Amino acid sequence: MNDIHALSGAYAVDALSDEERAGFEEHLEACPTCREEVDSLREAAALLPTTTETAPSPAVRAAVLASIAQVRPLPPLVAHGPENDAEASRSTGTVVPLRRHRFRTALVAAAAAVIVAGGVGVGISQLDDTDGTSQQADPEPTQDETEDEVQQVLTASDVQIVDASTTLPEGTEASVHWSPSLGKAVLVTDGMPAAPHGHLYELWYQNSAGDMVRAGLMPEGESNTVLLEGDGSGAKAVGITVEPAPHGSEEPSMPPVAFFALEDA
Amino acid sequence: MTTLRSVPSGDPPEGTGGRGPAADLPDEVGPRLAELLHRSSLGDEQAFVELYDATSARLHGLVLRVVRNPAQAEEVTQEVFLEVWRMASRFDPARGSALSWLMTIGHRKAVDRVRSAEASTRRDTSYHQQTQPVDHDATADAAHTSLEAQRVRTALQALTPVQHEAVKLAYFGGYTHAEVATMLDLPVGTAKTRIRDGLIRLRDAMGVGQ
Repeated sequence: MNDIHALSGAYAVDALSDEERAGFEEHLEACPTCREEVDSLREAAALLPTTTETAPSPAVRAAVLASIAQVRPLPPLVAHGPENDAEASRSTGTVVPLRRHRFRTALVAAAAAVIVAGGVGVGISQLDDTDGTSQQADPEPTQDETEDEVQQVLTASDVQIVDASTTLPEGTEASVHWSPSLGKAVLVTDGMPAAPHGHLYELWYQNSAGDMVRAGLMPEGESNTVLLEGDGSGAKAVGITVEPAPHGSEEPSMPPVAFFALEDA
Repeated sequence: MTTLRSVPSGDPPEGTGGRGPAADLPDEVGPRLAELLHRSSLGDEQAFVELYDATSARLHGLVLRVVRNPAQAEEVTQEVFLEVWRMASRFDPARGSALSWLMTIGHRKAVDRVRSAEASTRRDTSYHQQTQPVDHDATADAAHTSLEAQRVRTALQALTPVQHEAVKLAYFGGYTHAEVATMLDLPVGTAKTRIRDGLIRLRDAMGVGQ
């Protein structure tokens, strides 16, 4: 049994660091044995609170019942064809496997964790911050160099085209062309709605530690081909969030509106 | 209904609660909770009320044990149930019991709460004094002793003392396995094994999950 399997127990009782957790969740996608074990260990752990039962105050019950009346239960995850899944890859019409949704949930959680942890100010990210934020608003190296790099990614031998899981409206097409060997990604959009007034779209890499690292700002316009800034080596995902114009944010201020789960080559 | 149905294979009819020793929750309440969860996912508030009444003491007891501060614990419990309502359709009975699903959500939220609170107060001793009014074992002792709780206590005796302690610190303390290793003075990397082995023993002693 190699090391990663041994994390199943700690995972089942939320005793992993964020980084380990992200790594183990990735492992779980590919390891049915661990999934089963985690499920069974959670079953066991769920018995522990039999020894600590304590009723909450009636006020909690009242508050819960009042709040559910105002909240719509989420729809089930459906094994979707293109027509009933506006979130899926409309550009290709391929059936998006269920696991992408699970990844998406994980990513939202990860993003949320980043936001929560944000106040601590731990900056492990390799954000290239030499020019501060001003450089971000106006993407410049020269047009030509950027153009070349875009072409390099699009034509890389190991390029993968990853469709979005997105909450953007139907008709939005967004995909990421990802080259693991170059550690670079290009985002291609079509039919992208304008960001809300006073806001723009900001791009992020989720690095191998699970942190969201700034990767530049999207130019305005519904059709764009954008090279993500910075080094994406080892990135696990690309995300797009809505952030205040003109400079964006240092950290995602909300869950991404679109996600692209990258897989290692 | 004109479809053919296979003839039962001579097994005694189900419905008496299945296998396993007598317990006050699992065999009959389990499927009932799954049913309530399913109806909740369809927007049935009455079903959700029933679910709440059946599970809130267990869930809140867990949250309170982890979070410790009663006011904060009630906030978390409230969040958890709202999440359960929202996410009810994502419960997959093939992967485990409704109760386990609920406790998993509750535990995660409770742990998130203590960790983020800690991140913002960073080892401030006055904070710890303030938020640890409950003596570690007093909570457990004061808990009511249902038949099932008795069984769990008995099953926990199958764990080695270190396994037991590691599981308790991880589950009720909300500590990471690395923290548990330091707290119990274990070599780095072994606490996760203790936690896993302890849970496996508990699982097998209780005959749950497979």
